[in-house]
Amino acid sequence: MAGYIGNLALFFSLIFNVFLIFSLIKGIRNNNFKNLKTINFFNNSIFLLLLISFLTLIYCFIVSDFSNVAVYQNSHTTKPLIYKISGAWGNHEGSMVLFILILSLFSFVFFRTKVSEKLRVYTVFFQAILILIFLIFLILTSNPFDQMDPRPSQGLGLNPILQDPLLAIHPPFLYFGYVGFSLVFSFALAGLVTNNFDKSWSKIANFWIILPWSLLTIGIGLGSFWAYYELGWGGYWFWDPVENASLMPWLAATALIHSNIVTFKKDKLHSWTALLSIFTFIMSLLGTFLVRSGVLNSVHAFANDPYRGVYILSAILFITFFSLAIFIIKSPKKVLYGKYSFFLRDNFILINNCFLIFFLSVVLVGTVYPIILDAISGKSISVGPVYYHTILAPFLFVFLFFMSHGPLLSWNKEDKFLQIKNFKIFFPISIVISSVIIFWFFDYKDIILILGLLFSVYLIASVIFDWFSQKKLSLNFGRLVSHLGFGTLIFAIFINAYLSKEINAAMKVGDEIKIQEFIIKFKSINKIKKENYEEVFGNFLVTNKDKQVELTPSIRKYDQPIQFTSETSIKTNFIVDYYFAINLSEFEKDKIMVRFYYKPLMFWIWLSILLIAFGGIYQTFKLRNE
Amino acid sequence: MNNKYKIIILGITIVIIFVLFLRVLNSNKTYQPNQMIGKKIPEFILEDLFNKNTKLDSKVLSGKDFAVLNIWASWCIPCRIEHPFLMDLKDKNQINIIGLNYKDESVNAKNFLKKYGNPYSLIGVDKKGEVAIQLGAYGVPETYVLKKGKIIFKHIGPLNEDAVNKILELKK
Amino acid sequence: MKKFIFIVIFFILSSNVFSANEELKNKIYKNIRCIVCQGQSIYESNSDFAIDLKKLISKKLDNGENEKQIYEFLISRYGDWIVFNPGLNFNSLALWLLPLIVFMIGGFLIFRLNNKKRK
Repeated sequence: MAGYIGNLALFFSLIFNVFLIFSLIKGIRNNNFKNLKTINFFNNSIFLLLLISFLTLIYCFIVSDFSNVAVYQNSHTTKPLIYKISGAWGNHEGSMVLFILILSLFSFVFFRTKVSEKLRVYTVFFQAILILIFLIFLILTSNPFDQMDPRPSQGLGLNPILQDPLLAIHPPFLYFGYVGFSLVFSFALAGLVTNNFDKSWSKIANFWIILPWSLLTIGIGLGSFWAYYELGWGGYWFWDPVENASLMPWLAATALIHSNIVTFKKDKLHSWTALLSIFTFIMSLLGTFLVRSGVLNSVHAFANDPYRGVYILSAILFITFFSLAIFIIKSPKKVLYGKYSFFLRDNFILINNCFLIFFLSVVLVGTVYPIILDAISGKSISVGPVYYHTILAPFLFVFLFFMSHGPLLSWNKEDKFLQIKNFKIFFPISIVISSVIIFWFFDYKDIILILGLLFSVYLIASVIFDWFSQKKLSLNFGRLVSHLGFGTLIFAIFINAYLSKEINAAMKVGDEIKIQEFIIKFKSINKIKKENYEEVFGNFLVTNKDKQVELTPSIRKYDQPIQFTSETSIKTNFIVDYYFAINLSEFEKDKIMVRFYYKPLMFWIWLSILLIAFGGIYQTFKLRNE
Repeated sequence: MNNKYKIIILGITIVIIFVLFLRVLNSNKTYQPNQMIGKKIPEFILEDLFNKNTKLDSKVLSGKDFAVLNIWASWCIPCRIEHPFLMDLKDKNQINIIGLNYKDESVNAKNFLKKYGNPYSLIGVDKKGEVAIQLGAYGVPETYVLKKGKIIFKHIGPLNEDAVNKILELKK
Repeated sequence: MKKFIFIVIFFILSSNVFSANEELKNKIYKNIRCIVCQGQSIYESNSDFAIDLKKLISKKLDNGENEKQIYEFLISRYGDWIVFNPGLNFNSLALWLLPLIVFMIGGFLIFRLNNKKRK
C-alpha cells in the first residue's frame, strides 16, 4: 500500500514537473511572469510529492515490506531500526530518490530567496530540467517501488559491515553537498542566459556555494573517519576511485568559492566563475556516474549493471553539452581596467585557483585514466597512492605559500607592508618551529617532510597573524577558521604519515613481544554471544616506555550468512591513537594475526576537517542573516 | 574563434567521451591478463593424480605439437559446468587434454572424475597452487592452449561454445 | 676486543635486517593488488589468491630476491595492473604528463590575463 502511494507520488511529481517546465517556458516566452502563482504551486507540489515518495520508501523499509524489491534486496527483519531507515538511502534506487529530492529541496528554498524575478524563474527552470532528466532515469531504470510477487518472507540485506551509524549518515551529508551544487549550476545558467552575471549574482551565489561545500566537507570527513575505524588497516584515505569521486567536486567548489569572491569584490573573473559553477556540478555528475555504472573496481562502488550506466552517461553528457554550449554562447566578456599589479589579493586567489584546478586534474586523471586505457588498449594499470603523493607534494607547498599571503593582501591597493612584515617575522619562526619538530621527533626525514611541515606551520602562523590584524573579527571569521583548519590538516597529515608505526605479528594467548619501543602482551581472550553473532575479544596490553594502554579488538562471526568481521580497538587522545586489530591466522592455526598501529595526531585530522567545515557554516549563517 | 566552431568542437569531444565510456561499460569485467600469451610455459614438474611415479613435466609438454591445459578442482562449481565440453573435446575431437588439479584433496578429485568422467590424459597435482601462479592464473577454471610449449590462447572461466570453437580452430 | 665489536655490529645489523624484512614484506604486500577482490591489496585481503601470493612472495624474499624482481615476476604473469604504484613506462606516461599540461595551460592563461592591454 505504502509502496503504491510512493510510486504514485513519483509519477505525479514527474507530471507536475512537465507542467512546471511548460509554465516556465510560457513565462519566459511572454517575458512576463504573471503566472508566478502557478509556477510556485507546481514547484511546491513537486517538492512535497518527492518528500512523500521518499518518506513512504523509508516506511516500507521500517515495516520490512519485502514485496518491494529494494527493501527485499537491502533489508532484513532483524536489522536494528536505524539501519532499516538508513537502508532506504543506502542502495542505488533509494539514494537516487534522495538525489532528486535534494534537487527539488534546493529549488524550493531558492524560490523564496530575494532575487530578481527573471533570475528566480530561470534558475528554477534549469533546476526543473535536471529534476526531469533524473526522474525519467529513476522511473525507467531504477524505480525503488518495483514490486515482486510472491512476497518473500525475509530480505537479503544483512551485511554487518554496512550496519554502522557513520555509514548511515554519511550519504545524506555527501548528497546535500554535491547535489547541492546543482543550484549554483542552474543559477549560473540563469545568470548567463539573462545577461545578469555580475556582482549582484555573486553576492547571492555565495550562500549557494558555501553551504553545499561545507556539508560536502563533513560528508567526506565522515566517510574517511568510517574507513579509519571500520576497515582496520589504520588508513583513512586510500585514493580509492569512489573517494576521489567526492573529492573532485570539493576541489572544484573550493576554487569556485574563491573565484566568486573575486567576482563579488572586484567585478572580475565573471567568465571563470560562471565556468566553475557549471564545472563543479559536472564533477558531481561524473562522480555519480563512476560510482553507479559499474566501471569502477572498488571496495565500495555500488554493484550495478552497465544498462543503467548507459542511461546515466547519456544524461550527464547531455547536461554537460548544453550547459557548456550556453556558456560558450553567453559567457560574459568584460573589459579589463585598472593598473596591473601582482601583489593584489585577487591575483593570488587566481593563482591558487590554478593550483586547485591542477590538483583536480591530478585526481581526475588518476581516477579516469586507467578506465580509458583499458577501454582503448585492453591494458590495465593501477594508480596507487605513490602517484598522487609524488605529483601533488611539490605543488602543495607553493599553494600553501600563496594561501598564507593571499588574505594579507589588499584588494585594491598594492600594499607590501603586511606581506613583508608577515614574512620577515613568521617565516623564520616557522623554520625554527618545524626544524625543532623534525629534529626532536623524527629519525627519518626527507625534503618532502621538511617542506610539508615548514609550509603548513607558516600557513598556521600567517592565519594567526591575520587573526590579530583584524579590526572586526566577525568580518573574516569564517575564512580564518577554515584556513586555519586547512593548515592544521596538512600539518597533521604529514606528521601522521611520517611518524605512524605498524607492528604485525602472530600471537597466542600469553605471548609477549617486544618490537621497536613497544611491548605487546596478549593477556587473555573472552567470548560473548549476541543475537546474531558470536564475538571473541582479545585483551592486549601495549606498553610504550612508561605508558600502558589496554586494547580489546575482536573478531565477530555472524551466522546468516556466515561472515567474519574484525572490529578494531582504538584508544585515542590529543597526541596519538593506539589502534589494534586482529584476524584469524591463515598460516598458523593456533595463533591470531595481530596488527598494532601507532598513529599520531589522528584527532587533529578530524578536528581540522571540522574546522574547515565550521568556517563555511559560520559564513553561511552570516550570509543568511544579511 | 567563432562560437559556432567552439560548440562543434565541444560536441565532438562529448561524442568521443561517450563512445569511449560506452566501450568501457560494454567491456568484459573479468580481468583478462594476456601477459603470458606468446610465452613459453614455465618449468615445472608435478606428480600425476593417479600414479605418483608418473610425472607431468613441462619439458614433455613443450615437445607436444598441440595440447590443452585445463586448471580445475573438485570444489569448483563452474568446473562442473564446463566438464561436458572437456569430455566432448576428448571423445569427439581427440584433443589431448592435460589437467592441473588446483589446491584439491586427491580423494575428492578422483571421486569427481569417477562421477563425471575423466577427459585428461595426465593430471598434475598442484596442491599449493604455485604452478598455477607461475602460469599467471588467478582462479579456477582456466584453460590454456599450447603449441610446442608456447601459450597461444587462454580462456578464463568455464569453457563455452565460443571458447571450444576457438580451440578447435587453433588446432588446424 | 675486535671480536667483541664485530659481534656487536653483527647483532645490530642483523636485527635491522630482520625488522627491515618484515617492513619490506608488508610494503610489497600493500603494493600488490588482489585481482579477485574489489580494489584491495593482498595485504588487506584474506582471499585464497591473496594468501597464495603472500606465501609465494615470502618464499621469494627468503630466496634472496629483491623487491624489483618480485614485481617483475608478477607483472610478467599478471600485467601492470597487479602493482598499485605505476612506474614510469609508456602506458603511464599520459598519467604523469596530462595534469602537468593542464597546469601549464592554466599558468599560461593567467599570464596572458595579467598582461592584457588594459583601458
